[in-house]
This record gives sequence, C-alpha cells and structure tokens, in this order.
Amino acid sequence: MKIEVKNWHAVASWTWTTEDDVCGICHMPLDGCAPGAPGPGDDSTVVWGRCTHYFHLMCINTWLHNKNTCPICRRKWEFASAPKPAPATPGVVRNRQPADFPTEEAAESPDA
Amino acid sequence: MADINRIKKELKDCAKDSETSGLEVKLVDEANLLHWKGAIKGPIGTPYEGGIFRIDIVLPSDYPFVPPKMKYDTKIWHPNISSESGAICLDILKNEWSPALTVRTALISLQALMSAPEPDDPQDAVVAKQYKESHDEYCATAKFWTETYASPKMPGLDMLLSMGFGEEKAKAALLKCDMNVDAAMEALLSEA
Ligand SMILES: [Zn+2]
Ligand SMILES: [Zn+2]
Repeated sequence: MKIEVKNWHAVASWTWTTEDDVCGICHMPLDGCAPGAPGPGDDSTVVWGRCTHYFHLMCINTWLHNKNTCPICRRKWEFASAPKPAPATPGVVRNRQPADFPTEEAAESPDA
Repeated sequence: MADINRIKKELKDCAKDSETSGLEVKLVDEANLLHWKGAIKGPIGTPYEGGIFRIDIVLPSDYPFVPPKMKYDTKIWHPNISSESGAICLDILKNEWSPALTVRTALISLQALMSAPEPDDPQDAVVAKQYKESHDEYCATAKFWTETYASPKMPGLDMLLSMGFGEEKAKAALLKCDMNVDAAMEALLSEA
C-alpha cells in the first residue's frame, strides 16, 4: 500500500523543560552559576521541594517572594532534603518518615 | 535586573523550531534584549487560518519572575483580545504566570487561545457577546479581519515586485516604513 501525505497540520504540544540538570527558573546548569550569584558551588546552592522539583536557592527564593508555589507543578512550596538515591515512587514518598522533610516554612508570604 | 542569560537562551530555543511550531520571534533592536516581536500563524480550522498575527513582547526588568507583557500588534476579532488595543486576557500572562514558563510557551498558549476562545472571561465584551449569541456572525467577522489585517500579503508588495525588487527586501522595506509604499520604494532605491 502506498500512502501519500497530502496535507498535515501540527498540533501544538509542549512539555515542561526536562533537561535534567538545568534549573527550571533560570535555565542554567544546576552545577553552574545562578544569576546574580558570585560563582558556582556554595554561592549557587541547589534546593529541593517536597514535590521533588529543584532549583537554585537564589532562584526559588526570589520567586517565593511573589508566590509560595512550585514554579513547575504549582503545588505549595515546602523545602525538603535532597532525595535518596533510590528512585522515589509516589507511594514511597508517602511512606517516608516526616523526619525526611524539615518542617521549616518556605517563605514569609502565603499565596499572593 | 532581568536574567540576560536566560533571555538569550530563550531566543535561541525559539529559533530552533520556528518551522514546525508556526512561531517566530525576533528582537526589535539587536541592542535591546527586552523588546521582542513575535509572530503566530493563525491555527488551521479557525477563522484565523491563513493569517500571521504579530505580537509585541516586552520583558519587564524582573523577568522571569513576572510575566512578559504581550499584546497583539495585528488587529484581531477574538473574545479574549481587545479589538481596539490588542490587549490580551489570558491567566498565564497575569496571576497564573510561573517562571518555569517562557515566551515560547506563552506564544503557544496564545495559539491555543485562538483555537479555543473563552467567551466567559472576555477582554472584548462586544466580540464575546457575538461569539455566544450569533456565532456565524462572529466567524464571518473574525475571518474578514484576518483577511484584512493579518494577511501575509502586504498592500503595495505587488507593485514593488513588479518594479523588480526582491520579495524579501521589499517586505522588509514595507515593514520598516509602516506599510507606506512610497517610503518603502524610496528606501529600496537609496539602498540600490
Ligand atoms: Zn536557577
Ligand atoms: Zn513542584
């Protein structure tokens, strides 16, 4: 059978940035330099949210002044420690002890 | 201070797939990274099909923590876009903005809005009323506006082409001279 494509049209599709090692806010490498930071490393610390999304500390802090949500999934932002090396399935996350997550509040302001 | 590195990266990413996405962006002035012009192809199967819609994009100084300011330069008949000013009513350009979004994803959202208007959250009440109450009229008007204002064919272009100027050059000159054929002709002649 021979199929001749006479005509097609693209349906818009897009995904959140999935380049692994890039900050979802500034789009720079996580091991690189956050905008405005004097250098990589300690000055450009990477932090995780409970939702497992991660950003440069400086980048997420600037955003949290506007809104206390994760820029990617829009859930309430809560700081968490870096995930365990084992891949976390949603169930596993739920079974974790609360001690895995420092309870400190993310930002001064509630949802703007 | 706007994030210059991210803005440069966004510009590059937009250029990568302009063929398939039907989206195009460029800087108004190479020296100013904060003022862009975008172009969206009217979605197929809508009254905007066949049109090219130009969008003015200004990135505020605290971008990407606040949304880009976007408006239609091309006149358009659409419930969520002002038929007078081109102002856009779209949540992600207002309080639903997130710094994980980009100019490109915002333009894609505009394309989606053109395919699926939201008359219950209107920017232009007149258009929204027509959309809901006399849909055929809305389609006819939107189509007429697309042909009149968004047609990629430019008034005066034929004349310049018949004088032997190249199409790209002639189009660029017309754009530069706000579609004034005489001014464009003069510019082209002085270039030659
Ligand atoms: Zn960052
Ligand atoms: Zn998240």
